[in-house]
Amino acid sequence: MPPSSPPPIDFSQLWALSPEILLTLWGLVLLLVDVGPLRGRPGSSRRKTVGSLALIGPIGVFALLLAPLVAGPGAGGGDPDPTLVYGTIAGDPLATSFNGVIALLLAMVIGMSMAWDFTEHWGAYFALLLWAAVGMMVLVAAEELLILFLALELMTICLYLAAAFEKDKRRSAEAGMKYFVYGSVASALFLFGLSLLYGLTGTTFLDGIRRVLVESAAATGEAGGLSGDLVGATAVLLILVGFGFKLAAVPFHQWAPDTYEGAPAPVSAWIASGSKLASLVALMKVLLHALAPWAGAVGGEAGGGWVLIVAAIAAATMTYGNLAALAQRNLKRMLAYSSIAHAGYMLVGVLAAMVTVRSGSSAAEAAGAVLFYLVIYSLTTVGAFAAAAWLARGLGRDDIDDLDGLGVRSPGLAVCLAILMLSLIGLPPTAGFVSKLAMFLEVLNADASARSTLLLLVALALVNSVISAFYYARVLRALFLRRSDRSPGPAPRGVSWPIVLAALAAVGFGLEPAPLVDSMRSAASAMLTITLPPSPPDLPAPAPVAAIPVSGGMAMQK
Amino acid sequence: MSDNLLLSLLWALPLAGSVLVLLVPGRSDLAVKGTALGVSALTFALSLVAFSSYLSGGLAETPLADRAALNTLTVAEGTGAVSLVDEPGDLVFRGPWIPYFRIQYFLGLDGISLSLVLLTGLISLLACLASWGIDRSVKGYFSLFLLLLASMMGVFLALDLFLFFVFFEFMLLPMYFLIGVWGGARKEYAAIKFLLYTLFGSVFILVAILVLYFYAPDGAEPLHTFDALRLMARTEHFTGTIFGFGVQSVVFALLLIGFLIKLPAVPFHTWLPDAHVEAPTPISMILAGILLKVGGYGLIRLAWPLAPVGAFELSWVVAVLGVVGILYGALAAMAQTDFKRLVAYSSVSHMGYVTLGLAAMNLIDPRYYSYGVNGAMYMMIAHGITSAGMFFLVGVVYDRLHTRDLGQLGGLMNAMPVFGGVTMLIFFGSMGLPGLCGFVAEVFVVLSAFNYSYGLAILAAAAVVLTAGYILWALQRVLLGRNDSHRGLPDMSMREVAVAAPLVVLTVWLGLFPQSVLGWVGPSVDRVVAAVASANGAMPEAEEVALSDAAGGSSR
Amino acid sequence: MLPNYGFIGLLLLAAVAFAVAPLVVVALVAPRKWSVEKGEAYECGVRTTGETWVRFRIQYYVYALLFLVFDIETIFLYPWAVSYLGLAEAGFGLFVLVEMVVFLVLLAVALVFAWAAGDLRWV
Repeated sequence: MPPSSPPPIDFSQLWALSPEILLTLWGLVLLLVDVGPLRGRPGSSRRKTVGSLALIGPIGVFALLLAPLVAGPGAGGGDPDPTLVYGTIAGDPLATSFNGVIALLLAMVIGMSMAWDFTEHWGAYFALLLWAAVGMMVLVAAEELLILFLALELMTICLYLAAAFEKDKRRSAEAGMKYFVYGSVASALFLFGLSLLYGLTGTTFLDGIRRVLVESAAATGEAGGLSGDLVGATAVLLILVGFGFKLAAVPFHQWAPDTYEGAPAPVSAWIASGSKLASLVALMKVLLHALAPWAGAVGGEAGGGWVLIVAAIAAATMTYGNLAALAQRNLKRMLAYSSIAHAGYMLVGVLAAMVTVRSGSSAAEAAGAVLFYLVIYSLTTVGAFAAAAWLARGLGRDDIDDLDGLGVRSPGLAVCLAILMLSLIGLPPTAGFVSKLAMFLEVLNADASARSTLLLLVALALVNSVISAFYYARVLRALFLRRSDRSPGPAPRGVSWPIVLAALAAVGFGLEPAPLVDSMRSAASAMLTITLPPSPPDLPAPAPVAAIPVSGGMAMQK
Repeated sequence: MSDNLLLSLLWALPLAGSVLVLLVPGRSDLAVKGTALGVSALTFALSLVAFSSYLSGGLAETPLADRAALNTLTVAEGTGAVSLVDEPGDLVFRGPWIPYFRIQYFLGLDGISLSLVLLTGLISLLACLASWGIDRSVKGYFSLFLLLLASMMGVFLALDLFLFFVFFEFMLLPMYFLIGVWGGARKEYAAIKFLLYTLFGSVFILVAILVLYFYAPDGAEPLHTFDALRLMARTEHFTGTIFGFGVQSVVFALLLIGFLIKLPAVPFHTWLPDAHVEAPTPISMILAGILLKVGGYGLIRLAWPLAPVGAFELSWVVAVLGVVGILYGALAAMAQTDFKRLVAYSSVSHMGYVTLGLAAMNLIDPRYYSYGVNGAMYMMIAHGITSAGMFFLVGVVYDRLHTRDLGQLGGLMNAMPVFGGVTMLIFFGSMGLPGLCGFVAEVFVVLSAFNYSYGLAILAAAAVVLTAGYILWALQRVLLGRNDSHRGLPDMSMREVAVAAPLVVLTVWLGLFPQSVLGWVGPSVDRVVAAVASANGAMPEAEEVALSDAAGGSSR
Repeated sequence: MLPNYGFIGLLLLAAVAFAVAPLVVVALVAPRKWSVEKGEAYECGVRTTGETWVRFRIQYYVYALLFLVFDIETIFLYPWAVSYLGLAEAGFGLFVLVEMVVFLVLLAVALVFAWAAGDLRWV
């Protein structure tokens, strides 16, 4: 949007971007500290020093996020205007709450990284982790396709490098290479999709795209959907390829098992949690907001749209992920397939959010349930990868069988790990159960015309979660039912606190989900209602997305 | 004691106990066992308190739904403030849990659930006493044991479907570990088989719950509630079709599959023999005594009342399954050489009576239907006592001889006379000898079945012969004859006698005075029957069924 | 819309044909004679001695990367300098200046890092 007479830059808006700025600068500091003052010190000592310094990054982000709350409203330039920098980046509750989540995940990943010496280049490694976090934060906040693409690339390029960081292991190099080759092809296709979208609509702003599509649908009098629109369909497909790659959705998942297995455990955790989290939020922004007019109907007569494609991808993803996970022996590889399966569940939720967006009933609730699921999944999966880091440190390998006997040696952590596995299966009373159920309840709550399709998807998902119990139970079996004389030794602090924290979250949000559900719902409603700040007069007002009261007080029956 | 405190403590106390056990300092196993025993005893005492307040409050006379209606929960529009009314002393409590999905913390007791709560308290206490011989990871064992107790209590207490499901699922976990860690040779196989079977079943239950929550006939709003009683009162809401089938049939079929797996009924029973054989003795007691009852409880409390019309449509399938289960279980039991496996198959056979009793829906004369359901309920209680006793006795033998092979036993009557006597009595009770508890249940069920279908009834009655066959044959192979290698075996210890004595007393007591249980369980059962019958358009005078005549008549 | 894309499609076809045609012609016309030299890895130059898979010095890549960095810096700096005056008149002078300083600081840190990590030493 090249402004002819632009409004002056409001530097106070930078306050809303302070987490990103802080992490960027702090990454630079880490780089220089590692090669400057710490030069010549042995690797393990630098690991501890640089790692501890790196933790200041996420802690600083927390401080920045909490500062406005402490100082009260209006302080520090925190303004109610939800978009920044000419509307390219959102400063809404979605961005702030996910900045917090990403910082928390980052802290856990940094903690795990300090467990053992898998590289010599600690400054570069931790800087990459921090910068990937910057990419994720911007990706979550992006309101414009170019920013979105740049953030996506910033995130993945950092992760490509980090995946290959365990230089003396060939599998790590293979992990980085595969991730890079698949990723760059996907990125190229994604960019092509974005450019087609720009060509069709003449704007790169998500909200602008939405308005143009709504307008053209109104002009032609069609109910929406993509039938007959070849170029539009191509654009949607290519965009789905890009997101599908980041989410590891079938059929763009092939990189995931090799990369997760080969990369060092903290990096796998970072790819499985942060990268997936940010990409799914971006996917929801693009699909639910910008491309909503192209959704098409699920069970109706209005012809195809992306909803049906996403439905097929979701079904294939969860089924394939679970079936393939059954055969795995390696912990990280099993978690890779499990993360594929979970991506499938989440796509079902995205579908439900779409259907409710169209019927205008409870869009924010459905999208909020997906976000809730996403946060819970990310926390638990990072905790599970911490176990892999523990094994890699103590035994130099990370098969599921290597967990044998930990229930006796470290009962506390083993119980925490068991809780994480239960949460991943979705057994009550863990958060995994509540989030899965909340999402499926929203799915079934969706538009009645789509209910039979969605009910089938939910039934498939439930059957899948039973299948998943089989391979997660393998971890439980190793922990408690087996004995072994090989032990990874006591867990280092960097491994134990992520596991404990994740387990606490899994139990705590399982028993009392309301706070997180509420905040995710307000984040979702912000995501779905964001608009361009200076509304161009020649465009019609955006189609009303139902404004949802966030804390709905509803009378329960007597 | 307020309702909330009493009902919540019933499940929260063992839960707190499971943490407390882990915190017992030192390495003394005795302290751990003592703590666990104390907690189980307190839980049992609490269930007795609930029982006494049920009787003294005359609560058997007021329907659960009426009592529940007095306990209300309202969330203020806008502010979200919760206000609740708790009628004191009626053993029902309704509190908020997750208001957004209208999930309540809704607990309540009536005759059906209270009898099983009492059974749970008693059997758990005895099983805890029977666990004295556990010597590996004692803390973990008793902690899981109490966790299991807590979740079983929760299942019987919950009246909110979501809450019920949470407890139902949570039960799997301690059970998985108790079988998997402290079990026999093929424990891993048995544990995962148990876990997967039950988890698979619970998916069906969950889908049924979701259908109930979301189903809306044309032009109407979904009920959007997990309140089981409210759903039961509104069964006419579920009259449409879903995927071309009647909603009620779908709901019933889903619940049926889920609970039949748990019960277990043929053909979903194959996890049971494995789980029983591999589980340690006290866990077998709990598994047979209580866990199987969860399946029956689910059928009688949820499946039939929630979908009465669907149930009637499918009742003949269930009845046939029941008879097949009776016959198959008995024949399979006869073929076993492993003592514990034999007892496990006898459970399958007995659970067939439960299924048959529930399914013999004679709507022309609902009185007979009421006999069947009462019989099924009585069978659950009686089987809870006798099968727990049988597994305990198998464990007593195994502790001494380290074999369960029937071919190597024999002659134990001479070596262990007390054991022999107790075994005889409890096995006869299970067989259905008149004057013992199993008989009452079988008579009720078969009587009901005769008024439903002659063919099925004759088969079920004929199965009594098979039952007598395998029980007597087993007793012969275990107790009778001479076997010098068993000479000098110690008889049952004081602790073992203490475990067996309550079971023996109850076996006889329930056989002689069935009215002492049916008097307060029967009214609740009859109300369920009446509701189901009237939903199917039968005459409403089913509520007037005077059960005292039936009970008095059968125990003469 | 479609006709415009149709031209692109035509262009695509033409481009593919342009590349494929010589191959087809060669396959049809050229004589095929086998000789030892044709089986060699390199048909020109001298015969290789020893392992063909030799390592290049890693420093080479570092220099290439650093060159690339400064190359891009120049590419960015030049248009910035050209349009600076116009932007300054529009009231963006300070902002644009700060942006360029940020960019240069980032590059400088990268250079310092490479220097401190010893990548600039000639081995």
